[in-house]
Amino acid sequence: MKTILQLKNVSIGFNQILYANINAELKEGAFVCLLGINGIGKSCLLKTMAGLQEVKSGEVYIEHKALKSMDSFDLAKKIGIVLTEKLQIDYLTVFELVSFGRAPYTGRRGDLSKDDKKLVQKVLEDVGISEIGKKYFSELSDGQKQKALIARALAQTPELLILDEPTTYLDIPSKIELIALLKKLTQEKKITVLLSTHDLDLIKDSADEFWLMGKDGEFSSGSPEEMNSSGLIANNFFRSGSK
Amino acid sequence: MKVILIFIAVFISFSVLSSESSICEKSKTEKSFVPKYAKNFRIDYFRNFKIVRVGNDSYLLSTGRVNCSDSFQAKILTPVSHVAFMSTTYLPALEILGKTDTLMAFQGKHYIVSKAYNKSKLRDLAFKFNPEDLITLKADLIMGYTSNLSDEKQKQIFKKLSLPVVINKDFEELSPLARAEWIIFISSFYNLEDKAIAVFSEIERNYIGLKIKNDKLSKAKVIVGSIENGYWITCGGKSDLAQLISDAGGVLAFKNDSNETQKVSLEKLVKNNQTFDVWLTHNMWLSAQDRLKAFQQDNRYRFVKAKDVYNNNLVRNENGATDFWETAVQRPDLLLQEISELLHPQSYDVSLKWYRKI
Amino acid sequence: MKLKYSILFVPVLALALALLFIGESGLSNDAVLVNELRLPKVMACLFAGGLLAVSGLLMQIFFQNPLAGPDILGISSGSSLFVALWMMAGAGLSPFVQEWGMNAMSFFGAISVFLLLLFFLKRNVSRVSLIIIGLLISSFASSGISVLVSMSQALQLKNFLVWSMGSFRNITQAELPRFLVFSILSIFPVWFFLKPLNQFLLSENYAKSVGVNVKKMRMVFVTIAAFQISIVTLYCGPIGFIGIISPHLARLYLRRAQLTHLLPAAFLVGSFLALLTEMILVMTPTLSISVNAILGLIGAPIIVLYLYRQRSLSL
Repeated sequence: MKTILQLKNVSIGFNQILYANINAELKEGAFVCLLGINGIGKSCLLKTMAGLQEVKSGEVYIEHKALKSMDSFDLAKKIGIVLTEKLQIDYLTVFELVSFGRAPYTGRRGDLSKDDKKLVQKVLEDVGISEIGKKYFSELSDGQKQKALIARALAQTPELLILDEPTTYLDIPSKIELIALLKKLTQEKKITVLLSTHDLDLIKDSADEFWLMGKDGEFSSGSPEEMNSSGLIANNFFRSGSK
Repeated sequence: MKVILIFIAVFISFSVLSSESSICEKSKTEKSFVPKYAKNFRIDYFRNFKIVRVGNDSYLLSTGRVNCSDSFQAKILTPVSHVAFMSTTYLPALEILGKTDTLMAFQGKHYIVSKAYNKSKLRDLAFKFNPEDLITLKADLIMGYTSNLSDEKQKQIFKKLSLPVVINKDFEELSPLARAEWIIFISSFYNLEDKAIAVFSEIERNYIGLKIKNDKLSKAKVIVGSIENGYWITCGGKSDLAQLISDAGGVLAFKNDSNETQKVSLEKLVKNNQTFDVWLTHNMWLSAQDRLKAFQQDNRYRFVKAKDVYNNNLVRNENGATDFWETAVQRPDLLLQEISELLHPQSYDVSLKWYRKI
Repeated sequence: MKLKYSILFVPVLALALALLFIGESGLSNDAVLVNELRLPKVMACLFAGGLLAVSGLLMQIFFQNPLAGPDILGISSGSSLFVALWMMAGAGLSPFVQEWGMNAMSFFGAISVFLLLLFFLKRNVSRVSLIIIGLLISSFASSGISVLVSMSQALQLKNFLVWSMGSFRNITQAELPRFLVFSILSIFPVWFFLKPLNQFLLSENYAKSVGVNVKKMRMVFVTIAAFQISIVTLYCGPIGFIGIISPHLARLYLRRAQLTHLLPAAFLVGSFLALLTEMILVMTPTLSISVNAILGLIGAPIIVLYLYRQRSLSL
């Protein structure tokens, strides 16, 4: 199985180093969950991996190519991201929003070709929101909004989809639906999915791998069983004396 | 018996005292000065004092202390010897009355054009002044115009602090002679009304004489102003300048009944397709060169056709302030004479004091 | 869609034509009046109004702030401050050096603020911080102007106050070609960068994630907007409101969000507002109101009404 992304001794942060020495790998079609207490730097790590922020030290490799040497459009064709930012835009239809994802492929003026439009329509179907393509994004429910943003990232036909806390503000049925959708993408489309979340119960059956940014500054990764039995999860999330 | 005597003494002194206070309000006016042209002031003379009224405010002027009830805005001891003025239009009066050495403070002394004042000895007053500052002046008279002083609250404060603040409303007068008549107002603080009245009579005589002479001359076509922001900015049709032009035997472009500055559309300028005899620019131009440069920059100036062009900034001080706003306001007769010269050079031979040819 | 645009053209053309044939001297097709006075005025309204609207739209997208406008970057204030400085300092010079210098200083003022903003942008200052810097520059400039005004003499003060009133009638026929060339030059780059500019509608991060060079685009945004504003300020003086409200009105009318659609619509709305202001001035020659006063009277209620209907402001 192909390695999609590698982190080699990566340290992340804005002005100072937030977290150091991260070593990890993402394989094709994997469903990986990034865990860690609030404020440890999960968002920062995800953004760094997507090239939105610079590494403080170390290297990120996309299919064995250094991220920082990549053309920004080529990178966009590999990685799609869904962020926690709340978008406040009126009068933008779902179709238009998702079409933004085709930017790495469209020409100078950003016009969509016939194929581009077909692809967008297909992406909407895959995500399950094809009936609301003409609706304004601002009118959607939170769950639908998340799906639309995922569709936008998928329109980039990426190999890796990164999501920053996609389930946090959703109600339980929507959370379940979203995880199922993401799982389906890894299985049917062989897209690698990496998401950060606090909803351990919901992902424990779907995740292939956990990445943990430990409280003590130690980054570890492994299958859910390994991570659970090693007690790392317990140490990081539960107060001493429980579970 | 003693008791009765004491009683009578007290009673008499009481009535004397009370009749002293009623001297102010109820005493008979010995004479009054009501201006012929000005509408905003009058002076009423009593035995020991005079009351000067400006609009609703009255001021008690006297040479010695007079016991009066407190309904005066201020009580001023005359003649004054330390004055603070807020407008250049009051200064020529001081020169005429020979009292320039009494000026000790001025608001914006960089405006003063007259060389009769030693500016370094004058204290400068800020535009927005405060009563505390005025107290430190120790002036006998502080004269200004309403935009500085007239707030009702300010007036109360001045009264409470017994500051000798007097409001001069010359700018509310509607004709050049009316404004000039305020020299009499200013003179009342120096007890020199006779001199002022004599000077004003001469001004009036000269002015009327000129007006009569000019009535017989053919009318000159006059335009005032310049282009600003895409409009023709000119004086109001009933402003002092407009009246002077009319009295000088001229017809001013763009008739209207206002005495405020007018913003006239340039279309009216284009439509007004006549050549004017005289154009008074009243702007920043100092020479024909300036005018020509303006024409180059804004070719809409070609719609203003005039035979002679003048500007009212012949005499300026080092800061660019012009004498027009000093001496010309006090001597409308001389100004009328000068404008008559501009409009009818064949009928006059006057050397120019305020206007320069450009 | 095409229909909606066509409908927008109608009032703009109608007002423009009306103002060509109606003026303070009534209905007339006198060649001199039309060519010398009315044509420059109408062109000024069309392009200055349009440029202000476009720069406002760009700023609102870039700053993700629906209240952004040409004033928010502090550019018009920078212009004003430089002009004020020049007027106070140039007292002794002849009036014509004064006036030319004034024009140059307005330009330098706008450009200086823009260079200052670029300086901060190069150091990767966030978008919000940039607005704050713009507001601080505005504040600083206003305070500076107050100080200069209080130190100055009446003549210079009067000159400055005259200049600081916006007017669509400043442009003469001779200046018109220059103005039109600059205006068109300042719009062209927007079309050129339309695709990446559009991506900023979502957010800077989302734009970056599809390959947009955000650092470069920030500079492009600021350069274009600053250039547009300095042209309008130079030829017409500071004019407010149009920049802020035109994008919102265009959005409300078209019900679209993308720059591609809004650009021409906002331009037309801006032109319309400017033409409307001029029509009001032509109809009320006896009142001495200024352009900014009328725009304030029209603009403020529009913003309030918009807020009321939308219950909130968003892009």
